Amino acid sequence: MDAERLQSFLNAVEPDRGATVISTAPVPGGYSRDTVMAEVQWADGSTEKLVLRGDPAVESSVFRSDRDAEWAILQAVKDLPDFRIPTPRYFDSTGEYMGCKCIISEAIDSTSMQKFLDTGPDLDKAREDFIAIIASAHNTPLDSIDASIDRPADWRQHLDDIIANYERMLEYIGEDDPILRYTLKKIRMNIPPEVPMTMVHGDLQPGNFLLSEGSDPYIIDWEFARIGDPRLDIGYYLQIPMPPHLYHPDPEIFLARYRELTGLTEEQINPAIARYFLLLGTSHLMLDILRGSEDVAMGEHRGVMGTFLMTAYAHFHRLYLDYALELPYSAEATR
Amino acid sequence: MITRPSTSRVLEDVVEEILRDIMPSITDPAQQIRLHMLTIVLNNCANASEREISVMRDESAVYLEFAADVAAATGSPEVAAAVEAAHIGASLVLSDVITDYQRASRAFSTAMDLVMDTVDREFIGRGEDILRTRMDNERAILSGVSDVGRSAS
Repeated sequence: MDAERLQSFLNAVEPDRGATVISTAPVPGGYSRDTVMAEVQWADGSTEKLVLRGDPAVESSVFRSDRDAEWAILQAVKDLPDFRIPTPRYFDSTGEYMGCKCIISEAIDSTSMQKFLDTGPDLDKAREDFIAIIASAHNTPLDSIDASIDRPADWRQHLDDIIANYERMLEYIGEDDPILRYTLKKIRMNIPPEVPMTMVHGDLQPGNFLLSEGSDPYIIDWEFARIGDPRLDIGYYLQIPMPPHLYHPDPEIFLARYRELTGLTEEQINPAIARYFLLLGTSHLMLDILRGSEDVAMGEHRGVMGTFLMTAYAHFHRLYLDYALELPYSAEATR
Repeated sequence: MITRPSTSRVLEDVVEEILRDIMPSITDPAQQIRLHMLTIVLNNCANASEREISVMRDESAVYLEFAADVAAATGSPEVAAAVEAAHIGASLVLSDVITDYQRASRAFSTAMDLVMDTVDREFIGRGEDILRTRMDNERAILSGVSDVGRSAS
């Protein structure tokens, strides 16, 4: 995803606009995709910044997600009135020009909500804003989302598919992990009440919300998005380690506001159920981490992440055991 | 066999060299991050080299004792078979210890599955304590940090 490739791509997709790529610079820090910031000048003299988001080489990556699916999601949500995303501009769906499948979006002059939180703002107000952004995604009517986006046949089938991530993990590592087996068993004993399915972001955290002067916030990084149980996003956020955290200081206040905005009941989402959904909302990441670990064990190279993410493996292990230990034994235990 | 410096100390010294002499010369932020990640991996390896064989041997014995007790108390042929399939060999070669550990873990999980299904509170409490210990050991090795002077020499 360098300047030469982008130039060639823009020449192909915008032959009449006379693009000149002024600069490209990698954006460090992402665990999953390779990201590059580019500046382009058009023949009319205007300039534009673009964000390029592509797949890293298999031999240097751990997390797996589908650019075609992400592009489809972006197309499905880009014009929704409920929340904003940076306009997706182009997609090199074959990698013919960019060297990998690559999504190109407008760059927003903004700061991430995580960086804003680092400046020491009023955290009560920040929590309100954060919940409002989450709710804006979760309140999106499903019938407004393009029918081409996969949607589970029903909630229970969807939940079972998420729970099956634990079976997939155990397959990777040969059924030998007592903590994952214990966690899976406790998950099955504590199936929560059903809720309506919504758009689920899959990596919902302040770092993926962009704050821009004079506009509503933008939500970015939709690679793990899907239609499903919105509590997956709540559970996922619980494990985000970056301070200041907007949930942990007062879960009751956080969830009361979330319920108020989404219409869910206290039976459907409360602190115990939020913790249950940490076990499910992170399972797609743990699955990729275990796959990467197993690849390394089999002699494959997965870049620095392949070995570094062993610390994340231990981190999730700890969380899974702690949270699973809290879950009660139910009558389902004997089934 | 050369024993001084130990493997863990060698790895810690490599980390020191990277952080003190190599890292300052790296100007690319992305490469700085990668190098920092690699030093964490090396610190974890230093921790693991100190104790992973010992930890797995100790835990394996506990797992098999638990599974054998469950098998005896319940008469479960499945748990008994899992215990039978696992044993702790004499070899301290890492790959052999790992194999023993995996089999013992499987026997433990088979037993734990059974006592969870029947909600046997006594065995559940004992099994959960074993899981906590496993997690504590894992965390101590894969903590992502290295305490000065922790290695043997």
